[in-house]
Amino acid sequence: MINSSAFEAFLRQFKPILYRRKERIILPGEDTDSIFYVAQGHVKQSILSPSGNQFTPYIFAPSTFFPQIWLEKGKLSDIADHEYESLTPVEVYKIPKEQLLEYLKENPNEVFILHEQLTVYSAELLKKLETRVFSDAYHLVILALLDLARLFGKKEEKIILIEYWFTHHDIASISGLSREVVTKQMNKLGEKKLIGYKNHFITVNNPELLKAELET
Amino acid sequence: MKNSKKILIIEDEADILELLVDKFISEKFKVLQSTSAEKGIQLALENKPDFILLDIILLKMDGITMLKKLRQNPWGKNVPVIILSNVTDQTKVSEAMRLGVYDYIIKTNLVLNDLVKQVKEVTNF
Repeated sequence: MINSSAFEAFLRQFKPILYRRKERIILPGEDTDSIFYVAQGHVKQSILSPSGNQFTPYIFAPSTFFPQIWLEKGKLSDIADHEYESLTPVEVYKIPKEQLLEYLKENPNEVFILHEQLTVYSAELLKKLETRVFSDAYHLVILALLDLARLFGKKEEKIILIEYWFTHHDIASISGLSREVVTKQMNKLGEKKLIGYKNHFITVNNPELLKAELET
Repeated sequence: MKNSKKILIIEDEADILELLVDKFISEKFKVLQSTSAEKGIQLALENKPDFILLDIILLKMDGITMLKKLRQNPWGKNVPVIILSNVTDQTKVSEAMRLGVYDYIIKTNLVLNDLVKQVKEVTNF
């Protein structure tokens, strides 16, 4: 997480941009000479197949940059079917690539932080691909819930409260399943007492047991 | 009406308030309404609605201050809130996001059917 005072001063020259939830920030096939920095909220990256299937490789949390391909030499148009959409209301900064490169040259230590983000991104992507290829709807829903618990979770005694008002529609869009299928799997997890609801929020009642379900 | 969801609308522009109230009543919601944040917070804590629509600019206490007070309450800290804003309220919307909101709407872009769909989704999970 880049949170140095130098970076804060660098950011101040740009105007923050707000997006409502479910707004597209980068459209499929769109190229950009800028990188986005997430100041508040969460952004979902999706890949859309020609047949209309959706896959969410990653959710970008506050203090991260997207798109990750920018960190390599690639262009977004090389991966035409990627899109970036706000999962919650978000506040982002759109930084021209050249200006960020200049900043990084002057602050080389912060390059390590970007590399760390890229490593986490790659690890998450591999885990998601493995689940997507080798697992079923039940496991995809568990993976989505574990992701949300990691990003939005607050520990309350033994449970984790996912502190945003996620619906079955949202989990369907994250896991690439239909809402009906998600509801069925969520009910199954509820019957096993692995998840529940508390004050408008989904709860993960025992994260270790839920993780263990991925192995079943 | 036994299982209908309860929504609280706090908006000081009479025509917008009327529009929202009529729409949510026609969609079988139980509707509570207020033109001020002071009465709004009182209605919220007494009636514990399933959802709150909150105008960001209000006379006396503004929407941000009300949201802060709401989030300090054990019940109010988790209630889903949509902020109603104007194009020029970007800084206030950003501040509201820090306090935790489900979404925000710019009033000039308001599409009633989309709003109802959104509220139904989040109150019926």
